[in-house]
Amino acid sequence: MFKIRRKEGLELRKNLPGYLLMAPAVIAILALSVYPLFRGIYLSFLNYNLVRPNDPAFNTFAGLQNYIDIFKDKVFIQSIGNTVKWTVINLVVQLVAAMLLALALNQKMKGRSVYRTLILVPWAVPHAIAAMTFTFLYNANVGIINILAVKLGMITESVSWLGNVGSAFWCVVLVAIWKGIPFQMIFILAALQGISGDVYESAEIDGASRWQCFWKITLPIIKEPLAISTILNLIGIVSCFNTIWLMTKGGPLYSTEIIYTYAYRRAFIDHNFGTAAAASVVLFVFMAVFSGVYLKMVSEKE
Amino acid sequence: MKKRALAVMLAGAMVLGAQTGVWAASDTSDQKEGELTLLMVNDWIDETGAKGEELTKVIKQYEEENPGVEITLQGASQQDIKESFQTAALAGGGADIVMMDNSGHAIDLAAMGLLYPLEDLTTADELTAQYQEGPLNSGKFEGKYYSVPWYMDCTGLYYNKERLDELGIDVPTTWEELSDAVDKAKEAGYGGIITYQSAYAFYSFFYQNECPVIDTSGDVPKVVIDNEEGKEAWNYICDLISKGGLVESFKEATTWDKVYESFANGEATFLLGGDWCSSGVENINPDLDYGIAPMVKGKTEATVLGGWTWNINTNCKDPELAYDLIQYLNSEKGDSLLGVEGKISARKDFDYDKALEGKDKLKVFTEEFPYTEARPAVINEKSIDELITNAILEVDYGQSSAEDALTSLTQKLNENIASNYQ
Repeated sequence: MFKIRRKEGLELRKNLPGYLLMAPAVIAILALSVYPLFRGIYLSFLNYNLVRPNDPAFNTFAGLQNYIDIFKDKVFIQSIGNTVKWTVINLVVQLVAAMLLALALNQKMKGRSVYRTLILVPWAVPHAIAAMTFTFLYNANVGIINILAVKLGMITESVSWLGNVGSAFWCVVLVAIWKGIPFQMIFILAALQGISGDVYESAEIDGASRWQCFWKITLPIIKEPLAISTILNLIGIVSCFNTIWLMTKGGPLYSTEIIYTYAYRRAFIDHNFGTAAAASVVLFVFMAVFSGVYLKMVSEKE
Repeated sequence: MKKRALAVMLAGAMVLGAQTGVWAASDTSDQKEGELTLLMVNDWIDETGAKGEELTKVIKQYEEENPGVEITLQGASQQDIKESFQTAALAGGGADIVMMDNSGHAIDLAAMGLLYPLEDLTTADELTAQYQEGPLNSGKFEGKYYSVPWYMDCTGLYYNKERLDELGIDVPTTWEELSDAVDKAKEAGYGGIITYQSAYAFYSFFYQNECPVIDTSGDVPKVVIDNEEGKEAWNYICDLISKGGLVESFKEATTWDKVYESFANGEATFLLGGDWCSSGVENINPDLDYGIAPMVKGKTEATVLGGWTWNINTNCKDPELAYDLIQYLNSEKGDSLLGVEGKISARKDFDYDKALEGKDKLKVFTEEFPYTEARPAVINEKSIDELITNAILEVDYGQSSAEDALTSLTQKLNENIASNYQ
């Protein structure tokens, strides 16, 4: 036992330069990720309404009051529903579309590199630019979508796509999907390119159909990179604040409000950082649960 | 004797020396020294634009007059300037002076303890003698002034002149006339009114019916939007909305650009907005034949105040110097800044005619100033604004009747006030 400890100590001393080189990164992660996370959780249990700094209760322990307050708020409940809807639709559509595109671009075809580059364009466009471009396209007065739809006789009068409760959510989802597909696709494509052609040839000789090849060979092999890309994509989807805020500010009538925009609203419009932190913790739990379920599903299949 | 004379001479020299020191000190007392940072909306620091160019010129002028002072300009977008300042000030830093919309931002920041109270730099009498009451009161919190008004504006009724002539409609001057004009425009297949999707323009109708929406005269603000006058104003607004008086673009008019577009492209016949809309509309359609009239009259004439203020950071190391710069920018030496866009200073001695030379259309706004009222000076005015806007949208989407929307709105406003004051 003593010997092992001594050996570990020696290992530490031996690897000291390595640890020192790692230290800045570790400190940065602790300061910029771990501390804010725990500070946020701590804040969610405090009375922290910034516009009431002279209130005797300010910065005191609030127990679960902030959580009770947000769960009593109809807008928050609506934002949970919207977050689930937003996440599931984005994730499923992006995954399916990215898979189909990756499979297509993995085939030998003329101009493949050009297509690959073009498909990556949405990913390279900043969120703000994408939001502004689509807002312009959807515009009730000068938007091309309205102009075309009216000319083609699909609608009689221009519609405010982002201003109507029924359409705003789907319009914003479309932008998020358009932007999100390339990220997922590039992961899948990279994984697909790692599969040897021999495997498919052997399967074909054994009489396997294309569908069977995909289901029995492709999918099991790319499962791990697919899981990683999906989790990363999930984080991007749930925290897709910019697109929503720039296009609709969570409106109209909170129809595009997700937990992220709700937390921002509570913090920077209502100035109540306690309830904003509570909403953020709920979002964190939501993401953790979603990721956990997905990872479990993947490992069960294994 | 000689010794006594020497002692007298020495004492005299000491007194003279001390006095000289006092004189010297008083000579340098006007020599200001220090560094200041000024947080402005981006277009004020963009030197390639007219506003930025003029601000740089005025700041240089101040630095030349005060060689010991160095001023640094910082920028933020119009939407983010408050959050940007708030975040930095909460962390103990931030710009020394920040320009801010007078729509309740200063009240929030004062409530957070992030603004320097002006009573330490001047007196209430001096401020009231120097500035218009409305803009000054927009920065008053718990009886203390926190904002120095810079420029002010108010809401006017923009109308499509060519269209009104075509339809044989006179420019509306009363609620009834506006309602009739909207009906006629709609019958002819045109759109009615466009305005920014907020409570901003709608406050005017409440004020025209002598309802302050929220009474701020007591210690705790009191919601009065549902009193008789309030109900009448609300029903008038909802009646306009229910008959399609607001154009389709209103639903997405979360930025002023969309308001200008709707009016400039002919979708809307009327636009409710401030003086800044004029340049916005003309940039899109320079050929549009339009006019600007005072807001329509209800029981009384009233319109809602807009504009910007100067605010001193509580973390500012030299508030006296910051106040001196603000006074300079607000003096005639800084009027050229307002001249860029024909803005009207909130100073009482400001010469409107001189400022609006060649901008005849905008003169209507100065006619409205005597009856212009500020939005309720309450904590979290933005939340209040959002609640009123949502109630209007509920009626617009047909999700609520006017009566139900008002009942629900009153309850939400009361809850909001309670959460911030009790």
